[in-house]
Amino acid sequence: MKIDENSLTPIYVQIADSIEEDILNDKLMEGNACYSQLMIAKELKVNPATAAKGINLLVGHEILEKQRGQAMTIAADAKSKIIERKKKTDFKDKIEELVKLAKRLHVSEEYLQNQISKTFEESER
Amino acid sequence: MRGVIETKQLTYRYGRKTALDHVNITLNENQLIGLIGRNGSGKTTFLKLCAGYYYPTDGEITVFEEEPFHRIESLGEIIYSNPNVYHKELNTLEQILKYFKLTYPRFDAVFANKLLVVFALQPTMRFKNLSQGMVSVFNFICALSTRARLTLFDEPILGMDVTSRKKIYEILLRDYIECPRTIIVSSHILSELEDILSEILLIDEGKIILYKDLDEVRTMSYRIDGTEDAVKAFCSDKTVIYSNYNTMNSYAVIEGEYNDTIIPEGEKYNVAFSKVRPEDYCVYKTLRGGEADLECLWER
Repeated sequence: MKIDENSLTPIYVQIADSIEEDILNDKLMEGNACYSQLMIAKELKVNPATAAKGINLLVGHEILEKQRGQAMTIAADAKSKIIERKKKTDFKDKIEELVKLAKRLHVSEEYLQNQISKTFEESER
Repeated sequence: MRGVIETKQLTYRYGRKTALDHVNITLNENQLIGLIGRNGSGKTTFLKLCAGYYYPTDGEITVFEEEPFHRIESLGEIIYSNPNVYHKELNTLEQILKYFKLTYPRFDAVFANKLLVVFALQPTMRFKNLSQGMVSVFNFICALSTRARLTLFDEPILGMDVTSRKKIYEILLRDYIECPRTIIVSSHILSELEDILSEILLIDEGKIILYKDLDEVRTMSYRIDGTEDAVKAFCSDKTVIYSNYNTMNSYAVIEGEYNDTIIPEGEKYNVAFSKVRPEDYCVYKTLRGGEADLECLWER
């Protein structure tokens, strides 16, 4: 991952997001260890305190579980939890954005729905 | 978190000029702190008081619960380094490193020699033949290798080229991770440093303006761009720390957290949000009246 210093998203949230992305892509598997605080700090060249905040955010969301000692484990149902939450946040935001754009361009609801169905079909081909 | 440096009403004057003005602060242990401030704001004075080079004119300062000015026996635990440290009687880099080894109990000579190699400095080089950039690099190497419990870097990157600066930041962060200790770095270039810092100490006209976790500072303000009317309408119920109104674009910097509740408001007034980097936040916080407006320079 790469930190976007100009983004309004705080760096520790970006770190949490990218860990979630790696879980969704099976780069990190449920039940296995997550990247450690120091590894994140070393590789992304951020302060360890910032890395810790990213990890703690995911602990709060029950995506990561604290084990004895320092190691963090990916929760057994991490993937479904991430998907459920993203549906309510990222996904909902994108739809709202799309609807707003449709309204600005005077696109009808029916046209929008047809376009979505069409794009779905194309991606499954 | 334990306090490493504690000050009470700490004041320092050079003759009539007050460099530090009744400062009350407790700095946390094992943080990588950026000391930020404009020229003449009191940064160097503060660091020299921490290192026991100066005795307070008024008030008090303790480091590791003792007055640094009086604790000669444990000065090996505090290092103050600036790029102009001049090594008079010692000629070669090798000799200077030996001096550090004798003075600082935790000095890691092997590490120091490895750093010399990284920066293409030879131990047999004569100190007086080094360029300003190389002097800065060498003094940084000496101070970092002491692994002192309190390490104070005053403008460590002075005169360094960009490649060296980037290496210095990377080495500083990594060594802090490997050997956690309290490190304070003063600098004018916060934008280059901010990623590796954990806290920031902003000083202006001898007073502490801000001492905060850097991740918090990152979310303390945001900027909006739009037409003059839109910006003014949006700002009407907010704390504005800087604004600039022009025909083509107007913007304002707002003190407060950017969050989801503000987004619809921005849409209502048609303003665009963007991030204010900690460096810019510090600039806005330390602007003096009239300074923002440079147009007056060319008025006839």
